[in-house]
Parts: sequence; structure tokens; C-alpha cells
Amino acid sequence: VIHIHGAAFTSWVLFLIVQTSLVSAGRVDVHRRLGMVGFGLAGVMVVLGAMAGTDLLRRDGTGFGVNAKAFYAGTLGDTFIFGTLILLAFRSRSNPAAHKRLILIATITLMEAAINRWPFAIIERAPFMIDVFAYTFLLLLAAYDLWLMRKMHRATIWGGLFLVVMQQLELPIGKTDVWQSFATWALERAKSIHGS
Amino acid sequence: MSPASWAIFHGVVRVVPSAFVRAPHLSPTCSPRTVPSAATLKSSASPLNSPKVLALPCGALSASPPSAAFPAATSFFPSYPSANRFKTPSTKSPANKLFRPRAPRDKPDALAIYYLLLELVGALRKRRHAQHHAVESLWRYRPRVRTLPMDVLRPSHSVASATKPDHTRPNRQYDRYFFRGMSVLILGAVFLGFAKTYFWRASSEHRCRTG
Repeated sequence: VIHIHGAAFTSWVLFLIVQTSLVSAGRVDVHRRLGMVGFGLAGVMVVLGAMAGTDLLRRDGTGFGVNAKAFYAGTLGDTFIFGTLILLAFRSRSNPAAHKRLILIATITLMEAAINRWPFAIIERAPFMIDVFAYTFLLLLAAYDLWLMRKMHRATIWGGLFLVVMQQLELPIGKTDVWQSFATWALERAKSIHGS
Repeated sequence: MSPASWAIFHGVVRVVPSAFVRAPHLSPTCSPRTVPSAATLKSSASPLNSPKVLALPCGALSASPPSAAFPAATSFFPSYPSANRFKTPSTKSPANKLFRPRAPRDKPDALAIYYLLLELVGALRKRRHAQHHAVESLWRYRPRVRTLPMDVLRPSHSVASATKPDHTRPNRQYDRYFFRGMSVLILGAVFLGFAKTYFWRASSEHRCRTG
């Protein structure tokens, strides 16, 4: 599951480069046709992300100084944010400015897993730097909007706020009793499926 | 009453008497049916012998050829059709309607009103250098329309809104660079993070299996 998950998420980033290059080359027709494939890929990624998160919970994977069940809220929460932003981007595909911004913010959602693995000592010493580096991509988008239009695009504002607020709420939600009991139920289901 | 007198009497064409210089196509003896030829018009198309004719408030343009009477005013606008409409008169030319000038049938746009204003200013001025000065000043401070990209300039945009200072940059070109650059940056960040634990590991495992 993890390898398929990694392949799918890597494909998404490569797909993003292909799509932006197609638009740059003026092949919007191909971009639109491939976009439907990308939407399908995003759906697969949501399912694989949830499966990989549950697998991590089964292997007692932790991070950010919290237990595996609370960390499970982070993995599932990121998957939910990504899926929601991709759905909004799909709905606003007739509005290119909003569409491209929502796609970019959705991809930034997935960056924390990669930044968490950067081989820099500062990441290991201060875990909050993961958020700082991830949100630097958002700040780049906001700065670009301000430079281009003298104001931030509505998709940047609402998409960025949705990403930041939801990500900051993930771990507090994960520590609640309701979530802990839900994670326990998901863990038992995963163990019964895998037989361990 | 000759047609010319009839026209003057009814105020269709008003000729400034002090500035009147005898011109063949405006002679009182000139019948409307004897249309002046192009050569006649050209020979009389000198600023020295051109008649000073005022444009009327009803919208009728001046009876004299504007390019002939005020060359400085019309030589700037070679592409505008009404500016040179008297240069090569044909049988259907408005030059044949010298004694019954009428407003153009098509809706007058802002540019046509602007040319009418130029003619009016030139006609009101007595001295030639003053005419040139007025025309040049008007041309220098003419309203300028910015050229906007097609995605910004929608049909609903008027000329007035297009002349507003536009602080936004044409975004399509910059968007290409920015979003492609961001996607490459994200790929680099992902590769940097997962190189050790995923990409190199997978390739090294493949090498171990094949080797």
C-alpha cells in the first residue's frame, strides 16, 4: 500500500508539471482532457492516503510528539483537505485563476510529509519548522497575487485559510476522546483485515 | 432664389463673410447639379483660398473640405474615413450635397465628435498659425486609449474604463512562469524529502534484486 501510495503521490507532482507545461504551451484542449484523468488520480490518492494513514496507525507510527491515534487525525485530515480542495478546483475549472490556485494549495497540503523528511537538522530540532516551510509555499502564492493584482485572489485567501486552520486543528482534534475512540475502532478494523 | 441662397437663408450652411474667398464649388452661381470635379476641388484646396465655413449646431459638418481647409487637422488622421471624405469626390460623395449638408447617417462616435471639434476650432481661428497651434494642442492632449489584453478587455468595457490607470499586470504570461516554477519547486521539495526513504531505496532494492 505504501509503495502504491508513494507512486500515486509522485505521479501527482509530475502530473502537475505536465499540466502547467501544457497550459504554457497553449495546449489547453489536451490539458482539459488530461485534467479528467488527474481528477481520477486525485480520487485514488484520497483513498490511498486514507489507507496509508490507517496502515501507519497499525504500525504505531507517530510524529509531532503525539500518539499514533492522534497522529492518525493528521494523516486523515490532510487527505480530507486535499480532497476538498481538489473538488473545489474541479468545480471551478471554468475559472482558470481560481482553479490553478486551488490545485496549487491542494498540492501544498501534501508537502508536510516530504518536508518532515528533509535531511536538515533544523527540521529534527524544531518540528514547527515543518509548518513554516510548508506555509512558505502559501506565502509565495500570496506574494505573487499581491505583486500581480495588488490584492490576493479569493481562492488564495479562502483556500489558504482552509488549509492553515484545518491543519492546525488536526492534532487538537486527534487528542479528543471522540477521535481516540474512532482511531481505536479503525485500528481494530485494520488489524482484523491484515490479521496481525 | 438660387439653391445656395436658399440654403444660406435656411441656415443650413453659414459662411463667414469676412473670410469668404471665392471658390468655384461655393460660388452662388454654382448649381448643385454641376458637381465640381476632383481637379477643381484639388485646385481650390489651398489654405489660402479655402472658405471658412462654420459647422452648424444641428450637426451638419462644414461645407468646405476639411482636409483642404485645415490640412494640419486632417493629415494626422489618414485612417479615419470621414476625415478625408472630400478628397476624391464621386457621384455619391457628400461633396455633391454641398448646399444641403446633412449629418452622417451612422451614429456619431466620440472620435467623430472630436474631429468636428477640431474643425470648429480651426474655423473660429482667424490666423493660420493659431489654427495650427490649436490643432497641435488638441492632438497632443488627445485622449489616449490603453491597449489591454483580450482577457481583460471585455465587450462591456467602454473606452472610458479602458483609459483608467490599470495597476494590474497582464497575468497570463506571469502565471505560466509562476505556476510552472512552483510545480518544479514542489517536485524538488518532494524529491529532497523522499529521496533517501523512497526513491533511492526503491532503486537500490531493484539493483539488489537484479544484481
